Amino acid sequence: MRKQANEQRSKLFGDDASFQQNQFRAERISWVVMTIVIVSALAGLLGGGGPFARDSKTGIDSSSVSYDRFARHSSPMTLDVNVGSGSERQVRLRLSDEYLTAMNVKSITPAPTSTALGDKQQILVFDRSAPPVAVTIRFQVEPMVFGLQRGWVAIDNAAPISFAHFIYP
Amino acid sequence: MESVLRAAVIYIGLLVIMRFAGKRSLAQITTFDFVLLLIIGEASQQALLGQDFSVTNALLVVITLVMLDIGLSLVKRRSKTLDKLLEDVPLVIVEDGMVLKERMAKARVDEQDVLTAARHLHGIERLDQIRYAVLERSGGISIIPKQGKGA
Repeated sequence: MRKQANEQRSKLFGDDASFQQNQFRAERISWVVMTIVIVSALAGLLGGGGPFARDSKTGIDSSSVSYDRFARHSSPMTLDVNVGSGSERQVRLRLSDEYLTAMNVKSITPAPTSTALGDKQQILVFDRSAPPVAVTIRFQVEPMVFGLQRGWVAIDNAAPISFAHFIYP
Repeated sequence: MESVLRAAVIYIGLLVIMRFAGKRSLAQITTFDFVLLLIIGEASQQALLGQDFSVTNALLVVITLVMLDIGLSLVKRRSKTLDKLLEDVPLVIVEDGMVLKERMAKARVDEQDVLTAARHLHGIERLDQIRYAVLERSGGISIIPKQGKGA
């Protein structure tokens, strides 16, 4: 009876019940997938802020770097380097060359007093007031590449602190 | 997170604005309505995307808007009140050939609109050939002719 009704609808209107059922099933599955995408975005797993969007790593000299775990191509993000008070008035910040090649640096706050090129690294020098206080150096950058991008930052002669972003297109 | 929140705020904002603009606001798509739609699109674009012109952001905004729409359609099926609040209700504007003037004035519809719809849909020439004209939720006018419309 039902089969007959389906055949009649198919003949009259081109109604295809089995195709339509598959279409409905595909729609429901896509809703679930899209909901997962939205929840991931709200959590910060797709870049653009959220509870899991940022991470920070601390070096042995108490300096630390705070960065976006996930970022998007050509979209602004910040990389904060926190430098402990220490004893030196000048801060020599070393940043991996590979990282800077992959990023478009829009601004550095405060601005470095001088820069120099080193072996696979760039050295930025910042002046501090006396007595030296803890400072945060903020880089505003835009990724120019996709995928996993690693980098490292080091203060003076301390061991480098490594970090990585996953950059979405 | 920001992309989803931006899309949600714009969606809800536009929903509220268009809802209060009334049924007929963009129903007919006159030349000016078309221009208005373009301006609304342009004005919303910056707020939707911000400084982020990545493919991920664009897709995320679209997915959020589509899912909000699907979500609301599912909720509306369960709640008659919400359905009325969001989608409005049909409004009878002509009954047995008699124009319900107050209703038409408040809905910003005139006799010409009714007659245009009547001509398009049923080839009707006069109001007295119409049994009911209904301003639908979409803003369109549907016509139910009298039996033997020459009456």
